[in-house]
Amino acid sequence: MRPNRILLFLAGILFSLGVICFLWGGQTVSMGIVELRIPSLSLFEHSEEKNISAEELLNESAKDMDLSASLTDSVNVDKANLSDTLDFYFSFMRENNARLHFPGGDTCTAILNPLFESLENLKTASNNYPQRVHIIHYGDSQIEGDRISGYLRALLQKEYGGGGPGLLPLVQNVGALSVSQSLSDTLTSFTAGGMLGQRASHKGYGAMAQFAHINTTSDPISLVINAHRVDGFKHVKLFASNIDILSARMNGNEQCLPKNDNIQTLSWRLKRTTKRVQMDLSGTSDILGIYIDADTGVTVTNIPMRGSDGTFFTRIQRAEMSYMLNELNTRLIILEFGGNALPLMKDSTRIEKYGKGLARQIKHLQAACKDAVILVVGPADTDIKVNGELQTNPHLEPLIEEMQRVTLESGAIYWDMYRAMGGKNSMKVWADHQPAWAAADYIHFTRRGADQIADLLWRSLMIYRDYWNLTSNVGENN
Amino acid sequence: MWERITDILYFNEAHPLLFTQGEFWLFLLVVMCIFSLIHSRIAMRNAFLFGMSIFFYYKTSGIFTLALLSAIVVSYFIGIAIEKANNKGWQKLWLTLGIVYSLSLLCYFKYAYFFADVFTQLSGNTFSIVEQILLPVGISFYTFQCISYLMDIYRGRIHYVSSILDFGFYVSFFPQLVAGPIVRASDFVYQLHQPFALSRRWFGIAVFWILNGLTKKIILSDYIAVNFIDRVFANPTLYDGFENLLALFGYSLQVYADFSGYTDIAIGVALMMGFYLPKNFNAPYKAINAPQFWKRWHISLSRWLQDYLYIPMGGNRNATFASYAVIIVMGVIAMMLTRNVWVAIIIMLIAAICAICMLLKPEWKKAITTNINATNTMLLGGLWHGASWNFVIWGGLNGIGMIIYKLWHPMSRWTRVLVISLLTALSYYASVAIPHALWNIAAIWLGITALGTAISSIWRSAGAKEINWLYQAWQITQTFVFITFTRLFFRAGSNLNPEEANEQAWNTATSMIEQIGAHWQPQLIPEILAQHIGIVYLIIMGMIIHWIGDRTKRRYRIIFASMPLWLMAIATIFIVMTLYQFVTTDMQKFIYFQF
Repeated sequence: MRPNRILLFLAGILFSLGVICFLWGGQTVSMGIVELRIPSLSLFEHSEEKNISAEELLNESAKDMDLSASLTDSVNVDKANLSDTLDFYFSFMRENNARLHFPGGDTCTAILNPLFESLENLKTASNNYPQRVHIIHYGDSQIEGDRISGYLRALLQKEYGGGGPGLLPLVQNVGALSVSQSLSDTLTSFTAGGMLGQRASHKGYGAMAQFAHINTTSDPISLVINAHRVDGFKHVKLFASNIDILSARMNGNEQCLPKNDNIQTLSWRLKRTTKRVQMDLSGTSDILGIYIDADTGVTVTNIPMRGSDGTFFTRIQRAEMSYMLNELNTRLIILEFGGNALPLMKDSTRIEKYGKGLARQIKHLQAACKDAVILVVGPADTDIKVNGELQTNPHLEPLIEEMQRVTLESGAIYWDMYRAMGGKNSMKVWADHQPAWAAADYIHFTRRGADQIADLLWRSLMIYRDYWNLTSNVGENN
Repeated sequence: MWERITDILYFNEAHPLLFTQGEFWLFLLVVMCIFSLIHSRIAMRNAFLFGMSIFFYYKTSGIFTLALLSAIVVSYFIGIAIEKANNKGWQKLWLTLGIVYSLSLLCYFKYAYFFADVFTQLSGNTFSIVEQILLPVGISFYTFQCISYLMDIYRGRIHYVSSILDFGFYVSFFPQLVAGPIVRASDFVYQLHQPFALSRRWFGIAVFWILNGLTKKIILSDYIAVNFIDRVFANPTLYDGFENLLALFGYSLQVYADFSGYTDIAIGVALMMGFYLPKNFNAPYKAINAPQFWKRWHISLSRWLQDYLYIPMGGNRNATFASYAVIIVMGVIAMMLTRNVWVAIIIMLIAAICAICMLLKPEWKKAITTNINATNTMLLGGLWHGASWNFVIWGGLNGIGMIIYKLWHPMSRWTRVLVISLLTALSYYASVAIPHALWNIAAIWLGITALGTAISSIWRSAGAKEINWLYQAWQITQTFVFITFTRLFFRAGSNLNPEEANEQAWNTATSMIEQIGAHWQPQLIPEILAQHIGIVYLIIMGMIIHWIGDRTKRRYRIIFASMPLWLMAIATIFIVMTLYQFVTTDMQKFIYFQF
């Protein structure tokens, strides 16, 4: 075969592909049950890229944050600067990509005041007058392995004291870097949402949206918890319901609960701060969670629901959930969902439907825990190939708009993770960062990336905390 | 417009010329345009292809093209010097110079972080200059080609290539430049002077190899990696034992599909220009034992290591100074990587025991030296992939696998049952006495092996007719499982920032062992399978295709190659459109680009 015939063949193939791309590029052809995507000519070009580094994207959001602390310090000395300082905060609240959005408008931040007050009170708490604040972080695979929650927990506990990882399930469906658990028996985990675990025949999942059923009379089930990357703990609390009889032993101290269908607790206060604990359980009961913390301070619970879009809360009976959240003095509920809803959002009707579902979840949680403020964290940027070009999923921005709208209408706070991380096509920039901040699927953060986004959320919250501090002090001084 | 042209002509780190991108095929079209005009003028053809290859490399590696050019120039002149030298002494000197130069280039780019780390440990000062060193793509491949060229001249197997343009073309021929196969001068240089010749059927075969390679890369490698494997390897502790195991087996398929996919495309593209590249893979997961696996996997590297390392070290004849030198060097390297002097002491102790055994039992000498040389070769093969503890373990495990097979093979049936039962009991005892995930894995795997061996032995002792296919399937499974387990260390050490590769690779590997050995949640398996059903189907399908008989594969290859051209063109367009359906994110670089 002569080279010119080979050239002709090659040119023919490329030309035909070019014609197909030119005529039908970007369209989807239905072939029975299969839908065939036709690439556009941009397949032969580089996708439009942000000519900016991931650090620069982050700095867009973080640029004013460092000023906050110094401003609040100086204002006590020099009240002449008060107006400028307030302008700084208002400017942040109105313009910064990492700002929070509030129901009454971006500067109506009063909804956060009870949270900051309860956190501030922790600074005056002591062992004689212990106080606790609990923050619960629900999310999808983006927070698996204690990502984001773990970072927030470490900083909160450094600032306000505390120890321990918060609530843990008896059966750990997804591992966590901060805590490892081992169970002597194989138990089924029942979950209200997500892909892992079975659905239960009743709705008594509790605040963790999951439980495990134990049924043992002879050999007890032994649970060993090892904390790695959290401060030590001194206090353990077990939540159980649908109890036939339950016996739990820890450090030689055995406690029992008699038959009771309602939620009950067992508590242990350890002699010294520890990072390892073993609990032996026997009887018949649903175990809704094990709460671990220090005597005083703040804890952050991480509840990842792989594959969930966050619309499972209404499947949970309010009574148990309410009892657990209030018992632990939960003051902030973070809902970080939306990423798993995105692939299904093909049109505005579906987006609206998802929005309505999200609003129902927020209402359900608000009714369950009236003292807690709800913060909805929207989905991160998700890049996919559209017509051969890697770009932000075209349905993401409408979805985020709808999520923000229903969140604010429902009286909750919204944090736009997508804009905070840099907006359009930013996930690719994060994935290209060395070392990578996002995985090659352009959906998930790496641990480093999760730390970056958690840091941004933390610093944003601290701006509002500083603003609250400032306005409270000014109010008192006046 | 001008911007687009400069974008095409200039190096862009984010956009190397990949076989899986449209730009490469446009590039090939341009090459074929000119090639079809000048193919009969051989010198001009070779010079043109050399120029195009350098451009291709520049698009992939930018300024590092200078490293390639320097390797070509130095090896070319040293090649001449070796052949023209008056006596063996001068030849040896020139050869040494050539090898030292090539290896220095390789070591500088590839092991600078390791040496800087050693320097930092010894002196306490940070050697910060290496932070700027990046690894030029394909350096290990063209360095080895240069070394083989010099050694073949020294051994008198070939004559030097008289034209530097021809030699440059041999070293840098773009289809195989960045990820092999490692082409020996003796296999390629003679083709430089032959006119273009390609039959109609061979052209069809070339198209087949290209499509086969693209399918392997896009569907079996990239898709399952991006959507599953990479996530698990990034955070193994987030996934339970079953998911980790699934990812590990998936990776075995991915690395094969990725690397052999590249080779298939390289062979196809080279064929279109009338050049034949050697086969680099021969269905490696059909191997029935570890030594056979290495005759089927990355054949060009295995043969290179055998000819230029294993045999010069003494091969199966005797141990040489090099054998002991390698042991000492590996001991030192292992000590540096683990920062634990005991590792070096243990390695030296094993070497000393071998030496004593050889002295006391001279009849064992041949077996021991063969195994020492084989293990050394595998360890150096591991180190060739990178200066990371994981690659050394990977190489070492493969060496051990081969030794075990050599010891296992001559044993009688019942001795095998006895030995494997004993090992199972020992590992079970260890898993109880010293609880660790590794013992659990060993106990289960050895237990299954013991059971299979016992059944096979009883079956044969009963005089029943041997079921060949079943026994072969059993051997293939055993080999595949072993090779997959070694891959755990290989993958954990891949795609990492060299500065932190060692620590991160070690953490990933140990976390995966922990998860696979001790963190199973059987009740979640149906849900996990449902969650990753597409990936599971692809892995199963990929393995089934891999295990299809050679004859069947040859038959459908010939059917494709014999199609009328118009039908082949339609099939090609259809396959390309199908492949596009699997492109969910950006094209991933080939795994072996990093080596």
